[in-house]
Amino acid sequence: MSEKKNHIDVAVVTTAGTYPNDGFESVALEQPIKVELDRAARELKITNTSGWIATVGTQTLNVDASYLANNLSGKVDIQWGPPQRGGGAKAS
Amino acid sequence: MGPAAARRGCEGVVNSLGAKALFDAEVKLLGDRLLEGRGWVVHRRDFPVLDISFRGDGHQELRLELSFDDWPDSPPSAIYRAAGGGTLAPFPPRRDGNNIFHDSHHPTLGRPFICMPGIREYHTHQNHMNDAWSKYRGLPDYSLGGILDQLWHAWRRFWP
Repeated sequence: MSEKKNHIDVAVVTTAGTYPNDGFESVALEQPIKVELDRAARELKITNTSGWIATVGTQTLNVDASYLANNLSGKVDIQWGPPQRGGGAKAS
Repeated sequence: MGPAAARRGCEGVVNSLGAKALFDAEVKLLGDRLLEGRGWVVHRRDFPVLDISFRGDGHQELRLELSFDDWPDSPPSAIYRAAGGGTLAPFPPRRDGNNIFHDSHHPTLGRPFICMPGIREYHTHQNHMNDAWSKYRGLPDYSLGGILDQLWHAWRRFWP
């Protein structure tokens, strides 16, 4: 649990690296998730994250909404990366 | 060996060294926190092979042997593996809408294949010859890690 009241401990995990590199960052529960994702992209020098999916466990997050609205609390690793972009014909 | 052949040989060695350096750098980013958080298990990461499983989330394990020879000039080639490392058989039924994980045989390779941009068998399939790898190469979503991300999300969506 974050030591600050109304805060959550967050890390953003990508295949290009993790932000912060160690541990977590304490952010306000009311903050939209995308704020931390944008920060992670800058720090990890990821140039295009259009359409990327953020997940915690089996939950796909609404990144425009807050941690609170996504029912997140405590310490969370957000897995973030591109979705399957395309494919061929429907397989049998 | 003539000068031209020698030059081509040197270029091949240089390309291979570059491919290995890039492969090693990208694979190094697959740290414990990412692997454990996603249920990814790396069985082997020796250039040019990345042997990796996706596990958990109530799905059957998907193990893939990806070969990054000629990376990034060519995308990786993918072979389905059984959880123990042998040939995947029988091939499990996929979820509705699957357009990625094919148990039908690739027309030139004669084996099941993954039909997704960023996988060599897609770009060498007769139906996608006009969708060249050069359109994707160098984009963040088509780095080694980006391709793994896409395969993982496809697995979560379509694998049983």
